[in-house]
Amino acid sequence: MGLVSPPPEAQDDSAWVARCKGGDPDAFEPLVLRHAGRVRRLAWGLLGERREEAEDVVQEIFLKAYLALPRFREDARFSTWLYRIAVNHCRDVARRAPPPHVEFDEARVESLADERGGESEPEVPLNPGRREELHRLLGELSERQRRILVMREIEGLSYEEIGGILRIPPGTVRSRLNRARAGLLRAAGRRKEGGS
Amino acid sequence: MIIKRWSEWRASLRRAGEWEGAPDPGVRRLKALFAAARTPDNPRADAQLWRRLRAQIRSIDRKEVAASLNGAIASFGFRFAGAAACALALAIGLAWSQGPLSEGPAATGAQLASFVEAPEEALNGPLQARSGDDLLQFIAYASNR
Repeated sequence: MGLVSPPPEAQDDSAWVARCKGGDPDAFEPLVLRHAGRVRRLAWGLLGERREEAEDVVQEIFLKAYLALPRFREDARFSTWLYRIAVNHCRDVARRAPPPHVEFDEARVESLADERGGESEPEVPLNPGRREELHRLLGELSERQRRILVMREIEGLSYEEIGGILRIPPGTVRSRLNRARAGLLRAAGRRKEGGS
Repeated sequence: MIIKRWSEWRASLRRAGEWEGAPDPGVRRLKALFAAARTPDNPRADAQLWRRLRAQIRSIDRKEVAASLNGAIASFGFRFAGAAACALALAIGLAWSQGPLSEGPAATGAQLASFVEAPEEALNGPLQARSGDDLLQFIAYASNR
């Protein structure tokens, strides 16, 4: 399976990481720009009911990473370390109580847009219907299965990368992934039966 | 019912095992769903994200500097003030004892001692005196007592 974006170059990352650690916050910019897309997709896939908050969660993830950077020992690649933070943070956010239902208030939305300096939200993802369908199916899986499927099927991470993020051997990644796929197939089968 | 569930589970595992190879239509459909979720990178959104993040990092950095200064003062303030006071007192003491003022207090002490001289002490002076007149005066004084 091809990756959405080319794999980040670890050496480049470590140079920027070193500069950040040396007290240059602007050196964090290339790290953000390089990994934001992946972290965003990961968050979208892992947040479940809270996926509307994905953009804020991505910001929180990067902020967490920036603050934790002095403690990053570089025994793993920066990307692995960052995705581990992302996975853990998304898990914490997803376990919070579901967001309260808010009535749509057009004036409030406009004022918020003004506060943000006219910034528009990220572009609406393609095929929203299919994405919603996928979310419903993923929602029937356990958190652990959902996590591994998102990393593999949406992000295209290798077994080694997933193993590094979840701290499990690649063989365990393979077996868990197989069970998660089987669970997804059963969920799809049940939906099909229910729909027909 | 249990047997049906079991056979479904086995079948799903088998189909999952063939996920990467030649998938059946059900797997292909799921793969298409995943492909739809694989949105391309969005540089504009990334740039917006960095702008918000940069502002947040700046405010945190400022707060951290202020907090670390406050923390240092809070944790070491009293000890630092005490140490500074001791050092100041020591420095003044040294300057007092070794500087040009050092003879002042010693001279004053000698003068004071002479003012409060006791009578017996006053008698010791002639005994230690080298002058014979003083000694004679002392003998006369002592014999009159």
